[in-house]
Amino acid sequence: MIKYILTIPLLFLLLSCEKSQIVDNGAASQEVVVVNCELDAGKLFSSVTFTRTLPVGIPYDIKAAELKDVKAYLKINGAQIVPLHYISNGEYKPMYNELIVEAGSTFELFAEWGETIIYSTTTIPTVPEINSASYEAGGKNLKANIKVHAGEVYGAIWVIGNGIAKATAFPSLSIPEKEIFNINVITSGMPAEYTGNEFNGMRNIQVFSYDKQYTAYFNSAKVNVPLGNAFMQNGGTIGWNVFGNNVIGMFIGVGKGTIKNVN
Amino acid sequence: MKTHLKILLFFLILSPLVLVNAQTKENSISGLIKDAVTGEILVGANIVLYKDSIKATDQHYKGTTTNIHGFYVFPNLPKGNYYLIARYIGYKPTIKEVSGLKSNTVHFNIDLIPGEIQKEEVLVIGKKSDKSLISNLDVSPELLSKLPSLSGETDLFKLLQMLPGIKTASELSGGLYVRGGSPDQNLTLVDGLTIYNPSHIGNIASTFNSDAIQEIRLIKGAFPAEYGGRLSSILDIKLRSGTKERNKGTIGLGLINAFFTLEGPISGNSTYMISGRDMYYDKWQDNLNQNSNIPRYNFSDLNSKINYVVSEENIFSISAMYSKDNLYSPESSKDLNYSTGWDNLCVGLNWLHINSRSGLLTSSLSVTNYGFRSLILNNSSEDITDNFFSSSRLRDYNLKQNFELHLNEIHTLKTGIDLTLHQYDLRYSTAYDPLLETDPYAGDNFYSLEGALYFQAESQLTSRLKLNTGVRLYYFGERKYFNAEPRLEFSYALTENTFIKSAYAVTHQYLHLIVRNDVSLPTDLWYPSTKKILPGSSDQYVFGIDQYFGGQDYLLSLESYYRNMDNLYEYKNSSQLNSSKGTVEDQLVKGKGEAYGVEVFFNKKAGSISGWVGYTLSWTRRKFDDLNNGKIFYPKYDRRHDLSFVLSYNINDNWSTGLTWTYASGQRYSLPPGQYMFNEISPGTGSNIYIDYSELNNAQFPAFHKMDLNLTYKCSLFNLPFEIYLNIYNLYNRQNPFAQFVSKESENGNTAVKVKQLVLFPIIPTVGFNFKF
Repeated sequence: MIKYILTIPLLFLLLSCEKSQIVDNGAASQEVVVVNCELDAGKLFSSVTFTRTLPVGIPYDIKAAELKDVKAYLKINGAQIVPLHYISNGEYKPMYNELIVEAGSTFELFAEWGETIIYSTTTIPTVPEINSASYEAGGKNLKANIKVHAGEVYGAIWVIGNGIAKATAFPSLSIPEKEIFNINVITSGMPAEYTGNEFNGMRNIQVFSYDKQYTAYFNSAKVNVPLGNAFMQNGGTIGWNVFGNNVIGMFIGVGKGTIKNVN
Repeated sequence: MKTHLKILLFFLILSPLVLVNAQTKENSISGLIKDAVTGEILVGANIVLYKDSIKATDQHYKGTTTNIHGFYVFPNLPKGNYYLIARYIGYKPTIKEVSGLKSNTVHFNIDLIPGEIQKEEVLVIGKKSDKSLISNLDVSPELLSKLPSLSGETDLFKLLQMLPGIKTASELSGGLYVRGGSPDQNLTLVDGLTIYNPSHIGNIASTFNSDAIQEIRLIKGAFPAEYGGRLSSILDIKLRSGTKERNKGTIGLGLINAFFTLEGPISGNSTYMISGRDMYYDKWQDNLNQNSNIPRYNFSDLNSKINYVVSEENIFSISAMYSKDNLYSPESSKDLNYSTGWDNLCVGLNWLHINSRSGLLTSSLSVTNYGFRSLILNNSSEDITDNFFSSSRLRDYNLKQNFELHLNEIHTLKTGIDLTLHQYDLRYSTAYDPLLETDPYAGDNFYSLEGALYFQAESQLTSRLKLNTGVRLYYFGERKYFNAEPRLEFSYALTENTFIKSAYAVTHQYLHLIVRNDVSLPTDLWYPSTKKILPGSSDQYVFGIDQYFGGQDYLLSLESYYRNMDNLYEYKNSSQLNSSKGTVEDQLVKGKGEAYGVEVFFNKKAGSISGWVGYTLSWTRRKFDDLNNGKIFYPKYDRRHDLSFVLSYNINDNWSTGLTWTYASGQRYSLPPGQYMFNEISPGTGSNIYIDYSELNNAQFPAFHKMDLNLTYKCSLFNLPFEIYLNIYNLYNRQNPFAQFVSKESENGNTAVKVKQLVLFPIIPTVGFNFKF
């Protein structure tokens, strides 16, 4: 017996009819307070931003998101109290713009918005100093050796010239183990266009230091990026260091090292 | 290695071969029931025994059914003359006389001659051979041809998903989610060969070539001790041996696939069957709509078997299975390039032996080679660590022996060993480099020995009470895990047509399938239990009532179940898969799960209208300390309600129709409840809009429901049987979402984050025809 089967999907063209639709998720909207502050070692304190999340599906509007009536203050080294005042667009600053963020000091953030209690603390890292800098991976990456301080983690970026191009992310963090005095910090790979001879003498490295709380954030920060692809979604928990019910955000000390040329 | 040898020796000492020679000598009649034309064994055939004489008014002396090997036995018979009557649906009843049974065992193979198939009896799903088994379903391959499908060929898994307690994750997925378990928790056996990934994706084609299948058995949970190694369920498939009649062939050519089956005799006592398919759906996708975002897909597979009947007591067979699947991104996918492929190659030598005391010994020696590769390149990100690569290559060398002995009318003993040497080569990274695939030192290599020994006793304690007790003992070599798994099942016949049943089982699983939950594409990574990765374990409890009506044409079955699961593993948040971050074990988190529910199954098994209605009310939960802030969450495939309706109607001699309708609570997914602006921490630049995922799988798609219809007309064309059929997939064009995703869009110069959902399959009518000669 021989059996022939011919399948003719007459309207197979309809397979091309996959379509995407906008989902109305208004009912699922949940308001969360967002805190955003980077404390730059050795620089003037800039500001803390308090906003709230807005439902997805509408254009983001800072006027709708900003929180104007937050009661907030900083406590420095467990003693000095610095009240914060609303300026604009959710930004809060000290009354006088003369607060220096000193390396090694501890900054605590206390805030209240309605019934929401907000708290965070960070230790300001030292500004990293480079012992030596060199090429890595056949000249594709740059490497710096720096002195280690307790409670800090490090990352490095490559910078071309005076900043005509630079990396905006670390490939990984360098996390010192105990009893180590120096550590290597490596940048991501430079694009091939900057590895040629014409850029000799223009390849620089900059090292950043962070309060070690930054590690959890660094490892998870990408999960909240909208990918815009049906076959790969994001989602997960970010390692925030601001605490409170329905509160997310970062209040973190950063040390930005000087840019050093790699010969 | 010495320890492994000791373990091996331990199991071999307790081998069923020892028990074979430890039997007492009793009179018995035993044998195989086979198709007289093709020589295929018949599972679930009824055999009744009359003593001394056969009269219509006499009650039969004893009765039994053939097991999954087509084997029957009447043990402990007194001396005398006997008459055997064997019956099977679609075959003429056959009467055989066994005269002068003295002090011996009579092997009596019976060949049944195919007869006029009674249409009223064709549709078979349910308890075919043993009404006392709980959560056990035998599916007729014939049923596959009667139901509607997208390509004209019904996917076995899609059919199973119409049964209560079995779900799918999405319209594209092919895996079975049985009673709250993930697809890796199902053991799929094809002629005893373990198939790691039996799925072809989605609705496109059948998982197995239905021309090659002899028998399908599904056990949804609390399975007996003869099965093990997985937490959730068993799918046991037997391939056909090939006809002994003459060389035959089936050749099919379709627009998206082509297939063939060849079978026939090699010699007087040996047959062959080889069946293969090639699916080239991707070529059509490219030609019809190059801008479509649907993943491109193709596969090919091959099933084959050689059967050699040495004598009435010894049958050898070689089974082989090969499959290769490729799923890849279309050229229109600029931001995301992916390439996923998996392949199975399994070869096994089987020996069926009926010994001189009617004991049935089955032995197999097999090799399995399974590979899965997944590469996802996220072109929208400059960060190479946003990519994903994983590759797992598993090689199993397996030896199995099972021995079944009918001690007497009351007790049947089963025992067996299952020894597997696993060899793994695992590679993974979030930064892809082609060297990862070729460097012999780039992978993690493991060897582990898995051994199992089981004892199982099936006891008909009274005319109403049947008990199945057993224990399965496990050894797993990587960490020298020893585990014992008690199994208990009973059935009590309240009346001739009413059965209450219950079962309890402890199960373990030593291989974990780790998948990325943030990716809708397959990203399988099989990982063995090690010092850090503990074996998965589960306790299962099942209780059910079966009520038959109308001369057993109707079955109403009610089953409830509860199962807890421990040592489940998932990737942790933002896992970093590269060697500088340690092994993949460091990127996994451990958790627990539970699943419970109630299933209702109403099955009309005979008549011109047949089919079933199935409903499941169920809950599936997971709890991981390091996921979802430690709070309980529901996996994607948790469905509160699941209703299915299957109908087959023979309108007259020419026309027949099949109709299916499913309704299920929507797939769970993580819906971001809000968006926010955030200044990136240095060295990031500027502010960006992000989305806040507060909880894992906190929302559901709209309910999934869909109706499919098949209409078939049979007639003669040029004196040849001719069939023409119409299939309509998604009859009322329900817009069921396949996936959700978040997208940034510009609106009047402002950026808005929107949640979008993708619908893949609208109404799709297809027609086809076939004829035979």
